[in-house]
Amino acid sequence: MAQDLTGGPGRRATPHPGRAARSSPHRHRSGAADPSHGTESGDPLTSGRKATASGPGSSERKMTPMRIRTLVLVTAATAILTGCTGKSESGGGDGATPRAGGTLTFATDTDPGCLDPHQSPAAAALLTGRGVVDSLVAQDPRTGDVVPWLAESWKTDERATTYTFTLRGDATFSDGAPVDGAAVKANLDRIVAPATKSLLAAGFLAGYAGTTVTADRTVEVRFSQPNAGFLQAATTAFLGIQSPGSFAAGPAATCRKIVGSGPFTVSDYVPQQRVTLARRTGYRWAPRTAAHQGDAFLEKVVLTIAPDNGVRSGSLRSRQVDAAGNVTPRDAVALGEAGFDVHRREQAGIAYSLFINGAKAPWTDAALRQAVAHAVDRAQVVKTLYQDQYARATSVLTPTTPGYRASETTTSAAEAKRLLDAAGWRAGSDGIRAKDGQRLTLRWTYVSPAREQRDLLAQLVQQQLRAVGVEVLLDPAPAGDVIRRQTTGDWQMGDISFLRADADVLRTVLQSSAGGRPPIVNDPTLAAALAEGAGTLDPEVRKTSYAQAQQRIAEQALAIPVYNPTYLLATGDQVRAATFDAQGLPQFYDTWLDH
Amino acid sequence: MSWIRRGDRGGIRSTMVRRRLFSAVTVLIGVVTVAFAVVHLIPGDPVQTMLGAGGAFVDPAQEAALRHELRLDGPLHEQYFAFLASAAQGDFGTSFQTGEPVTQMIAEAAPASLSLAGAALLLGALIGTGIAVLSRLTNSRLLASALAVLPVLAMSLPAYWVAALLLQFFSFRLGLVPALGGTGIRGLVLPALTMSLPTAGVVAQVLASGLRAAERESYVLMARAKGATRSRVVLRHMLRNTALPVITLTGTTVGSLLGAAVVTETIFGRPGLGRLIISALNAHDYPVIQGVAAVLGATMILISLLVDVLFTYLDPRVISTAVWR
Amino acid sequence: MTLLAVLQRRAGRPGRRTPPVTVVAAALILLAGLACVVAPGHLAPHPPDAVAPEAALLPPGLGHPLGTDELGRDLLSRVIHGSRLSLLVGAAATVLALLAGTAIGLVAGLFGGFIDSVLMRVVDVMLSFPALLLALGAISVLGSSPTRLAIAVGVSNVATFARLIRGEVLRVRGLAYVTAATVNGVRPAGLLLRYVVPNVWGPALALAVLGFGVAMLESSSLSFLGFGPRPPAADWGMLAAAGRDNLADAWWLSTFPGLAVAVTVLAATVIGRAVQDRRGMQ
Repeated sequence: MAQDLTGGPGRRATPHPGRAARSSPHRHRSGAADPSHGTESGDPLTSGRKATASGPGSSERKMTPMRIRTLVLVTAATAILTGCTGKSESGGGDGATPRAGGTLTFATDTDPGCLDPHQSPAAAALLTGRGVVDSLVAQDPRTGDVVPWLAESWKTDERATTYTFTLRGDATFSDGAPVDGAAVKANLDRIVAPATKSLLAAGFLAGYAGTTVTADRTVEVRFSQPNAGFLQAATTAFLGIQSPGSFAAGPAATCRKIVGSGPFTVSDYVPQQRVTLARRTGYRWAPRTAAHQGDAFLEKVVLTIAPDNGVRSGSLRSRQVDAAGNVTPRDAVALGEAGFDVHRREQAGIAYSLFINGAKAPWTDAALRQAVAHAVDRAQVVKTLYQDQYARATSVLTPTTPGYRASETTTSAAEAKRLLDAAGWRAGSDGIRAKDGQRLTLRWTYVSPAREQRDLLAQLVQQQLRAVGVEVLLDPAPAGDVIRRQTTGDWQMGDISFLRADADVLRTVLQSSAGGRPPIVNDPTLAAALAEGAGTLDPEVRKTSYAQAQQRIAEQALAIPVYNPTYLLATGDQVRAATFDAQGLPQFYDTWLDH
Repeated sequence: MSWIRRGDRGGIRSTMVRRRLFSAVTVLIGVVTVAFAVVHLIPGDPVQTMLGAGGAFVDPAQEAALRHELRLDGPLHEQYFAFLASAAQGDFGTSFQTGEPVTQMIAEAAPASLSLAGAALLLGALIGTGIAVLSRLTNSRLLASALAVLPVLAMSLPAYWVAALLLQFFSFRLGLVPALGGTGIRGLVLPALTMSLPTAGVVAQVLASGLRAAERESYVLMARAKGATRSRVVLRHMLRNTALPVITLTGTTVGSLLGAAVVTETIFGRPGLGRLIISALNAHDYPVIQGVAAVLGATMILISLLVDVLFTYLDPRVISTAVWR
Repeated sequence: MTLLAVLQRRAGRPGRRTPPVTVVAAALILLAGLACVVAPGHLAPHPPDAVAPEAALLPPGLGHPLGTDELGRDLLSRVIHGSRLSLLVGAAATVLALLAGTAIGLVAGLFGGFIDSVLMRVVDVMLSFPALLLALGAISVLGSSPTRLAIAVGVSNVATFARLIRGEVLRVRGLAYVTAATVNGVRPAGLLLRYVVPNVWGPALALAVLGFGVAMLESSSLSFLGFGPRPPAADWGMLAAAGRDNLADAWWLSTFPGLAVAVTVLAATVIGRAVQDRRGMQ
């Protein structure tokens, strides 16, 4: 069913700081993608990296795989990342010298509601917050490596329960206060404080036992249980370091204005309308993952909130904005043809997939689910709805997810019909199959309002299944309703996509039975394979077990993958260095305007 | 009316206003109650929506804590009376989504909606007057019948459709006005135009029939006899005499304006009460829905109260019916 | 547009009669709509759900008079099939509002006193919400389906009908011969049947036709906001909403369904006015 963390109004960000995907910012000019960029998207299998990639200057860090594994699950934060992209070409590709100055107007689809990433789980809060708050460590969007930022070095004990950070010491918040050990402690303490009502960030600090300031520039973060995902999580703005001086006014105040040590400050937030960021002068502590050091190039960034897809792309086209985020694939093609730059970033995690509740008769029969999998024409879906801007899913995991193994079910209506015939379901007068007086029906519950044209997708798949004699009843419902039905197991067919750069996402999403909820997929063989993968950090074992898991899912049609969700950013040609951060969201620090 | 002496009239008026006020208060309580009831009848649960959308896995302990935090764990009648008590003090609680006081959110969103509604009313009055006056002045039968249909047409067009067409043409094709960034006059033009059409229709019709009726009034004949031009008669004499009832009648369109604001603000991406309530409905943000509904209801009550009182001054006959009612 | 505002048309004397040509044209439009409701299958050139990816987003042309949508579905066929939902929901909502409103209005007007005050207070409360907002609340509670959409829109208009019918009842009661009958001991039920109903049904009919237009506007707005019937069935409001994503390059998608709503509402209003002029309320 539809936990959908990838976008749309009111969407939440991934509970996953470590997602970083291959980004292939094809530059569409006159409708043609520059072929030279195709080679830059690394093969995820070969370039997959180990968890907690060893950053420079941190030779002491040792993380025992056995220790880490339990935790990865708890915090949903992993560091396995795949390789990615050249970024220079998306910035103009001409090696021009960046120019400072100017205002970037950026049309975004979602109102953050609350700007404070400590509190808000929304991706929109990350988009606005990343430029304003710095984090202890940074993550390289190209490699997934964790590198120094506010902390110049760090070490971890063997059990991953104590992290010691040494701060660089020269960084200051925009209100003048220094970024010192006390500030870090105040931040972490605040995130877990119940009064903060953190919906996501506190989850990254599972088992938080406290922070000790051991010296002015040194802090020790302790956990009562191993928390291997913490370092990864610490790279995100969710655990970004804000000025403790801003906390006094209470959580509601930081929802409106956050104060950090980043290259921008919040100058204005008008809910449902816009967020304005202003450049801060004297910024000298960019992480080495950034393309430059010193002040940001842009003087101002105005994020205009426009939930309407047509309005966002129309505004870009009529040059009312410089950039439009999350444009629809059709708009991306049209904008590319009209001379705008289109940057793509395929996301890691569970591909957008359909699920049939195997606990409900007659769908307990794997052959029936198989028939549906054969009948869903994924190529037609991505071509018709997404103009091939989103790739057809080739496994339940997207190719950018570590552990991905292609396990595609062939599209074949004939095979689908054969399976259904063999199972004894015969077409009635209206073309819908029936057996013993029971019609072959699936009620598909999905979240409405839908995004990425998933409502149209549902209608297309409905027709595809109708062609083989399976009736699909579409049942759009508000998110709360969908979740409630899922909790009670009262569903027949649903859809999910989930951002997280680790194959373990399969276990946490599909197998979870938290709160007494029946798992989405209930299959002992799959559960065994996933448990094996979760029980080790040995890359080879993980690779094998997740390959088995994906194989099992395809064989049993436990999930029917459809497409790989992709962030599409369109910019005018004056916008240079429009790149993505490790979270897969546009960043503004390196961006500049070439007028 | 001659049979009511001046002093009596004042007394009757104050009695009427008092009655009207009393009924306004009862209605207001009803409005707040309906807002509360509707919100609690909506299927789906705010706590599960909040938690489920964030991490997909609802931890029962966390759920119970949040439910308590949001004061959703008490019996319904307790929740109702607590709500009523704080609403009486203008406090609608804090938003589930942002943690901000609802009153503050409303106060921030209201100016945008008010300026939009105000601009739409003004524009509607101008367009409507233009149509009515032109239909009086023209000698062309064709134009006259076209102008007679125009108001009906203006009232028949769906707001979302008008908005889409205007955006497509003026903003995307011609680039005359921005589709985004609804601040300032330029951003107000298209949404205000969209919303003004029904008001324009009402004004044009009422005014046109008023003008038609005034045609035979003595002051018109007098002015004509004195040799005033047709346009001068219409603009200087007739318009002035028919305008007042029109102004009060437009009060009745305020409700539809507030309703249309929901659609208009959504499509133009403008901030405002309409957009606030739609996003709150989607997120099951009870306090915001209740607050906005109550405030909109109260606004309507206030406007109808004002219109009624204003009417007693404009048309003394109303007093008698009001008392009788 | 609320019903109340639609009714505000004259200050003083009745306006010019609607020209017969206009009325006939309006009637023809409504008949065409009716034909679409009765036999969409015969009128539509294609099945409304027939997906044809190779024909996606074709502009209006020979094969597809109104163009096609993202899935290559014929827009004309979808509009024709959508009429069933749009018009039936509008009609059902109107009938519901009329019946409930008339009942409330009759009871309040005939019995007066305490019953009248209570009922009118309730009506006042309902009238205090913008109709669209009331319908939005109702549909949020009920959940979306065509029937529930009709109920929600109907509910939001009950108060207007009740208020106006009550006014008519009071007017009729005030007529000299009715007062005489009351004095002569005719009971409320007899009064209702003999005098009130015959006098009230004309204005009620005019109201209903005007109300139909308003209900159409309202229900299509709700559909537009995402509270409409289940896909793939789509009423006009949903079709117009679906076209919003492609406003810049596929203008036909939201233009034609919106036009269908506009034309139908216009026709209903014209007819309603004509009825109002003939057997109008004062």
